[in-house]
Amino acid sequence: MADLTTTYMGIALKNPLIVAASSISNYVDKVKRAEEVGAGALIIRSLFEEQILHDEMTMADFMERAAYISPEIQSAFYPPIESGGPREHLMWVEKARRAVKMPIFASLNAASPGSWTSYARQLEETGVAGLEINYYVVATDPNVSGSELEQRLFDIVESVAQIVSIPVAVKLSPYYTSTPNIVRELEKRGAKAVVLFNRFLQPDIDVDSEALANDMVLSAPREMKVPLRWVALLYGRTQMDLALNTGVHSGRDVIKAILAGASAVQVASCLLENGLPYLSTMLLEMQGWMETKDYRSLDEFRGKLSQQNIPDPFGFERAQYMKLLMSQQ
Amino acid sequence: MASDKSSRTMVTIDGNSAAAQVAHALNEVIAIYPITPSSPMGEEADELSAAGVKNIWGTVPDVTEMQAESGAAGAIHGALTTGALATTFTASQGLLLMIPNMYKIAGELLPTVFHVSARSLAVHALSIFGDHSDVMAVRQTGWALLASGSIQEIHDFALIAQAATLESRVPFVHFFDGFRSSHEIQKIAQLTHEDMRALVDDQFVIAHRMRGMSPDRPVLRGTAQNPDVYFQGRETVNPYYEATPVIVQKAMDRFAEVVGRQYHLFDYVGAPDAERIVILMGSGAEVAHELVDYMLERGEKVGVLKVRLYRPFVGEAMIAAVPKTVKSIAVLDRTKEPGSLGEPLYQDVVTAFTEAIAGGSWDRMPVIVGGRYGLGSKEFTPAMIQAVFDNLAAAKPKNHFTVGIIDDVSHTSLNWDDDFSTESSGVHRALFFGLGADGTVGANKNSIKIIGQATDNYAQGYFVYDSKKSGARTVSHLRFSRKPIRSSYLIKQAGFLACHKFTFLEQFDMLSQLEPGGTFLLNSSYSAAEVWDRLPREVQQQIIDKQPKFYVIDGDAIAKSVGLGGRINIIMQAAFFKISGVLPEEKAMEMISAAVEDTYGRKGGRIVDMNIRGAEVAVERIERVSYPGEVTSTFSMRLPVPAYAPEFVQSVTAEIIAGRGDLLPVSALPVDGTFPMATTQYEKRTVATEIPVWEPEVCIQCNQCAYVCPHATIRMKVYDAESANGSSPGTFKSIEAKGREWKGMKYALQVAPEDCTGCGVCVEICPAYAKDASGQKTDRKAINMAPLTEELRHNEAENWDYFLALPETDPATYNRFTVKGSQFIRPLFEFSGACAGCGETPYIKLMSQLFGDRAIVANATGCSSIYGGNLPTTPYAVRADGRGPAWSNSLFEDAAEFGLGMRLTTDKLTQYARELLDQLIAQAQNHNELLEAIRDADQSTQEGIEQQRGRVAQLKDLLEQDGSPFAAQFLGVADYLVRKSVWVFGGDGWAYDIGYGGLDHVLASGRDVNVLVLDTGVYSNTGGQMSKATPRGAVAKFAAAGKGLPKKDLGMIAMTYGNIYVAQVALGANMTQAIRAFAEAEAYDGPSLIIAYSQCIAHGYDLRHGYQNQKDAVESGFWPLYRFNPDNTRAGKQPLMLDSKAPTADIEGWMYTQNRFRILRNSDPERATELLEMMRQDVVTRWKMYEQWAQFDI
Repeated sequence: MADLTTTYMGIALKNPLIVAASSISNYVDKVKRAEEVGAGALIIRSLFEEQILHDEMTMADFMERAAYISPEIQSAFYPPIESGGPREHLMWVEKARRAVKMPIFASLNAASPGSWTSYARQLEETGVAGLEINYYVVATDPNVSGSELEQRLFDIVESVAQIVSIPVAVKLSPYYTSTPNIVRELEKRGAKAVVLFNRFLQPDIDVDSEALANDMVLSAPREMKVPLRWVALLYGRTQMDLALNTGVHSGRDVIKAILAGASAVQVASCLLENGLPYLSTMLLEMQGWMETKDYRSLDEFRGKLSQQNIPDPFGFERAQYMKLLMSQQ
Repeated sequence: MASDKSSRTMVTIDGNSAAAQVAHALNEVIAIYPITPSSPMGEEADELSAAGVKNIWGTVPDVTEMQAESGAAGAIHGALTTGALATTFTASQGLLLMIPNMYKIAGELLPTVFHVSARSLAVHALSIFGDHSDVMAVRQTGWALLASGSIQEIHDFALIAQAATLESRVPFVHFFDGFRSSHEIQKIAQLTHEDMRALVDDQFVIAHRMRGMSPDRPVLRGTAQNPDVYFQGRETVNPYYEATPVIVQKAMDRFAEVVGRQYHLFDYVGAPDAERIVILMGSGAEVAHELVDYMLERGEKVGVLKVRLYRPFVGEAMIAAVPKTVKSIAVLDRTKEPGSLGEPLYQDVVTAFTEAIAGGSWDRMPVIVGGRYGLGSKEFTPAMIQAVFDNLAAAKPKNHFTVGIIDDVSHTSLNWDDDFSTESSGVHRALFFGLGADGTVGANKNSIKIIGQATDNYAQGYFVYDSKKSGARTVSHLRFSRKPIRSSYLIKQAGFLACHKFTFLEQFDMLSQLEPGGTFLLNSSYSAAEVWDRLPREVQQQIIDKQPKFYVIDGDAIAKSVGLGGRINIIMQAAFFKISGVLPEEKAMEMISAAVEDTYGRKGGRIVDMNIRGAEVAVERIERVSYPGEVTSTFSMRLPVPAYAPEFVQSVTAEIIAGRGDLLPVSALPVDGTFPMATTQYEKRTVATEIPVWEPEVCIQCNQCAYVCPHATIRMKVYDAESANGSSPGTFKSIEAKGREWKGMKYALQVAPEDCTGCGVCVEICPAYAKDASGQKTDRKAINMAPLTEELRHNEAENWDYFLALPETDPATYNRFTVKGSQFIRPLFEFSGACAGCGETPYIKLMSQLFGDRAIVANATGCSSIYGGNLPTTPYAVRADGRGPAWSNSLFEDAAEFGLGMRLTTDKLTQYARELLDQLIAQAQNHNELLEAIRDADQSTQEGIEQQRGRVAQLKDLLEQDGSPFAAQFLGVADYLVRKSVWVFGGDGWAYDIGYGGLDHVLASGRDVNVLVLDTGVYSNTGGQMSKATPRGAVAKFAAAGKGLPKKDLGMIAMTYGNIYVAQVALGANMTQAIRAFAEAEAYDGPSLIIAYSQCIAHGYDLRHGYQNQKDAVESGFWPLYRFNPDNTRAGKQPLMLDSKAPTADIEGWMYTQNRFRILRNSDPERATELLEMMRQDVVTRWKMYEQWAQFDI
């Protein structure tokens, strides 16, 4: 049987399939189930600082609205309870971690600089194997330049990497002007891996109701091409591990990612679509391919089709694009 | 109030807080029970303990909520007798319930201080407001009574009382005026733990401990004594009572040494050569002090004697405090003792003078008169006290007078000059009219705090609410001054007046309270240029007359634009700071930022930014309005009630609605608290911003919207099409009625636009969706919310009147015990003041529809008694023939017994009527057929009952014609030949806690009493304290960590009797089951108990989704539906019928849509998870138990 083990940020995984930050981690039973069906690791859905603030605001609003309604009710209905902030999330992270043997990673999306480090510390205390920074900004302010936004990311990663002793991965946006530069800068600042890429929810417009629609749309296999290209381009150019995320829907897709140079692959949409046991199908598919190809370990073919290792190093660059354009005509 | 000589922290708190902080610091065991207005004291003590705050001996006091005040007193007695330092907080009926234990505690010389926010007693009516009736009812128990008049005094006397009780061993009631002091916010100097240590001598604490009962040094207390020694035993305590005043004065002197404020048993303020003085206690003494200061400046020889220690009453000390020059004295009591020689304080003063004269310490009797004032928080102003002084100046002063009312019956009242005022120009006075939910009160409390903390100003805040929980109006009274504020009365003339809700201008005459040349701020969607013509004529006239600086601001639009939603508080607060002149303008913005930081600082930068932005925009967008010199408006203020309202409503109710109730004379009020029915229909409050609008074509005519409507503002009728011919208003809607029995007839569904609260429950429940052109289901329903525009209001109001005039649906054409059929019956409970989306009222409304014409209701005090019976208008109504539910509220604790008494009357008088009927049948020469038909009538159906009514009416006619003494006797009871339905309504606080003993007894009595428990799982009316019905895992007051124990299973307990009909219902989860339960319970010839799931704002979610929540409660197994009918047993069947399925949904889903559970998950997720697991276990266990019982082969 082929050996599927890999290491990701220095942590040994029994296979490269990592369950991505998603609603799968909402229930401890599902986390356990993910392990049972063979997941190499799992990332708990993000701790969103804005969500915590929003919840606090909603509660405060409710408390105040119901506080002054009659001479007999001149205070809020509940005693003044200090909000637990991230406590609930931390508890779930720890609970999930304790429930399984596979490595559990936490994901963090904070809003203010101070919160990044304090939440990172608190997440580390839950005993997770590593931390994924989920940095997501929609740049709406014309006064803020791209480099300023990048600098904010660098500062956050640096401060977090300094304060925690567990490895830190950065889940990147696909929309940076120079991804390799970003990756190099992140490496300098102590990141141990980059996840390529974050898949942002984009609002849609419902023409019937003439309103914004925010339906959760699962990824499609074709979406894998963007991260695949960037993994292939970056493999060998950084000491950091590369995790491919978005559009991985089969065992063969995982193979593609490894061929491009990925240390690990994150999956969620295909599991949400097909159920958790589909993960074992993917693993079987990988096993089958490797046996057919007579690979005994992932390292034997990891990065084989990365930019560095292919005969036509321009295949992942602009030339390929031109060729495609030409062929369409 | 002397100033504080040290640099103690100045805090801006209310009277309850001032007492609770000291009580918490000086006790170890606190047992309480919520009762307005004292509840916040217990709550604050609980909050302090929950936060780990220690008392001065370094331990966190244990706070326990009891099932009743009697229980709290019992627990305190137990704690004291075993040597703990223990206290409680209470008021009114609560204090009365403590009396038996108070005798015991005093008899056993157990030191304690009960802090009482003195409140009226329930007499001809309940009043939650303040007077001394409660404390006067314990003056004979052997407790010392110490009275505070200001917030600072409450704080100080709480400590002095504790020091004195420990040394004297005599227990103390420390009291202050309910609401006026308990809820007034003032800036005071906070006592430190060091101050308390300096006052409380540990040797007395240790002595108390050592007297505590212990098996290590056993003694026996609580003996029974015989005629030989009981009397002597009673006299043993005299030395303690003699010592107590000395000890109190010693504590006051020591307090002065430590803190700097000197008090005496009696404090005299006034001219040393005063000729006229008033004697009183409580907050009124502060008002008198203000007036006396004013009069002294004008050279008058007057004074006020403030009574501090009322019991033991030390006549010598009082006499010593009174100037020898006094010629006449008025003693003012804030209580009434009908039939007495005079009220208690008056009698004490007279006795003291008599004894002083007899003993030679006083020369001759001054003129002493007594008077009553301030009952039920009646305003007590300097003008009224001036009237008292004027009375004293008369050649023959009126005795046993009243002041503050117009008594045109017994002519006791003194006239006062309403325009007289002692208000000084150095005081900023501001009035704010807002809505309960718009944050006005919160913002004002915050402003007071900020100004109090950030400046040298003294600050005072007092908040007045109306009696309706939906769309409640609040009036905030704020004073700021460089000098201490003694004005314990409402602001009559303010320099700053803010109206936060535009439509109030049409309803309330607020401009009359603005000083000429003052500042008027209006929250208006109309700009400065547009607003003038939108004001009613009366408002325009007053603006012209008073020439205020008039500003408008569009608070709602600004709030929306900066992301604050409907919260206008920060905007209006900023506007206030900007233009009020309380602070220099440059300081204003600083204050606003401070206010924002104070309120939202903890919530993070963005929220602070949003609020600061709101404040900045507010300051920019305030517009000064320039107005013309003449009235131009084309409309006037609305009449409080329509012109067609009955005479009583016009002359009394309307005056109360208009805010002129204070001017109603005694003769206007009923002598025994009896009021006419159905008055809510005249109070068109128009509180909704959107109302449901019917789409007949989509409607399937299921009537569910009316079934769930909490305020009976949706009704439907099926009527002969001819009735609508030609006369219906243009926008009136109707459609062909569905159903063979109504062929050719019309179905109309109508909303009462001015009574609807806009909760949206009807829309949520509506099962009918409109389809689009392609036949696809849309979001549109048969009933949809639409903004209540002036046009919509006008049209629908007209339609509503037309609808009411249509004939009622023929009862022969529907089954009244179906969801649809029941809603053709006119609700005899309508337009109550309950919260929008209330979960209780639909059950009451249903009962009123099914049985209201023959129901007598005993209602426990609580939400249902407040929305059921709080003036000005009441919702219980009558049908066309004048029949309807007779409703009364006795007390909180006794509703079941009260209802049983009604049943006993009904049974007895029915029996008597039947005996008379039998006698008549035996003697009658004719009409035998009628008489026998009455005797043998089948009254098991409504039809049978109506027929019997017809026969009884004939009988009464005959009896009246007869005119004999026998006939007169029979006439008095003949109506009992028609079946009556006795109901008891109450919440879970009553049924599970305070009234449980009585409820149990009544249910066990076998009598035909129907009990409806409106179970919200919390004390809703007093603000959300835990009851035994509170679910496990829910956060409530006194359950800050989430209730750890499961909800008591009241239904199961009742079922174990075997002969009680029990049903658990959730109207939204299974409408048919609910109606069946009501029908069976009423039909059952014995006690019935219906436990009704009632969603409540205390649960913390938008009650629009209340019925989804009910469904979730049932599906998760939290609220299994069942009926237990003992009649089944007689038929050889299993009595317990489960009406819901085994739990199918995880209870987590039901729990975490509600803030009462979510708040715990957020603050303490580990505990929340633990309790969630237990809840999961609870529902499974209980279901299995029910299931086994239901399947048990009998």
